[in-house]
Amino acid sequence: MRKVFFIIWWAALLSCGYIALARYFQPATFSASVVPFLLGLAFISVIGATYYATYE
Amino acid sequence: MQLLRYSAGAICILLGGLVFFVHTDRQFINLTPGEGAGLLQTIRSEEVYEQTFQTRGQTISKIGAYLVPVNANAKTSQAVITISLFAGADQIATADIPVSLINNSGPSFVRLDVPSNKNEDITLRISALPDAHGLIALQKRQFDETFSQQTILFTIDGEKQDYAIGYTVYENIWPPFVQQLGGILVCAGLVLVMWNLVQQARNMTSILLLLYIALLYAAPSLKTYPSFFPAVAILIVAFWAVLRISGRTTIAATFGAFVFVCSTWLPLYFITNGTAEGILSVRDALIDPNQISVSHGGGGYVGISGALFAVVGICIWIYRLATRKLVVTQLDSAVAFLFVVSFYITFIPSPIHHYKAIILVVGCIAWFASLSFDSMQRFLGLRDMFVQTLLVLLLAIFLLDFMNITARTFAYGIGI
Repeated sequence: MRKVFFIIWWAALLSCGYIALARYFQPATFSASVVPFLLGLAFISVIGATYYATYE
Repeated sequence: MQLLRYSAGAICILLGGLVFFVHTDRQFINLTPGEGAGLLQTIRSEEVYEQTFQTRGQTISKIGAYLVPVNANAKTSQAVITISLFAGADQIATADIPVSLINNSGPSFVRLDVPSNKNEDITLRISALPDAHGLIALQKRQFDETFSQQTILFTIDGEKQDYAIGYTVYENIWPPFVQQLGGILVCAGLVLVMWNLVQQARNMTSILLLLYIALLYAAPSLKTYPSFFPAVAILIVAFWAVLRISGRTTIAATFGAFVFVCSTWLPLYFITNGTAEGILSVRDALIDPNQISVSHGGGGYVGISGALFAVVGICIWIYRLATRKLVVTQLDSAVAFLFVVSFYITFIPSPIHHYKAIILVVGCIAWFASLSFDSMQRFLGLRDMFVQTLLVLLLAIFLLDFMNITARTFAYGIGI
């Protein structure tokens, strides 16, 4: 269970970093750059967390 | 053996370096003239013909005017037609076209290679000395709904005309495909040269290579969409890591990460600003290489390679289910369930239709593509260097396909 939290914690950290970068470099199309990224990262995190919840 | 490896590495780096320097011309304006004798403007030596247009790129490499001979003496004449370019009042280039070389087969080109600023007004001036008087004609194009009088201005001796002349303009570009191919070759060369180091730090090397691939992949959009690169870099490393901890081999995990992240859902989302509408067919969304944002806004190209491997991956999952390996396939079953649900939401007309679910569809396809790649690699042998080399080459081909499609998607998307 600790590893599940570890994955989610890292996903949250990476998304915060990316949101900060996107806001700085691309304020005009901010939502366009953030929404798909968050969806993709959420998908990866769910798969990773499911893996640990199932096998570890 | 070591000498062979160093030589191959050096050749790869050299080839990559050479490929890096390739440039090419790309047409960015082409106004084709109308047909018919009434649409000709004979060039007289006492008149100056000027057409003003806006540039798009950083250079004007060559320019062509639709000219036709209208006098039988044109074939043997020694005269020339002069083509000059002006930025405001400054002449930036001039070149001559021999009258004897002008024929009916299309535009007559001159090479200029001048720098220009984006959206700058450039004037194309065509003039002739008395010995070329009446030999050549410009081909006219009437204004219609496909282009308006606001973007173009044609004058004779400074007097505005109610038509334009046919012309074509090229810019000199550094094609993204050349950068990417050169980058991959240099990278392959470095890996070969530093093979011992690569073997010692395999995971760190893999992550660095993935970041490098992300940089090459995002190269066409670094100026227009600066946050595209970090998005690709984070997603590609994260998906690769998840596949690795799920037990995939390094190459299979890399393939899965390419299929998911290098698909076109991310660039299309950037270009359309998340405003895509309508339901795409499966073929248009996933396999059609012309991922133009207008018609494929909610698409996600996985290519023939990704689709084929995914189908094989699903077959492997079903086979494992049929042979009662239920525990091993738990996560695969969860992904398959997610695939069915997201596929329904993306492609089937229903109240819950939403195009963004294509991200999940592509993710699930990448998962199963990676599963079949992994099975294939284990079947062929994990220790056989010949097989590994072939698989890496296969991976490079798939990657270049994804890079090419994305570069094209950006090239067409920005023009809209």
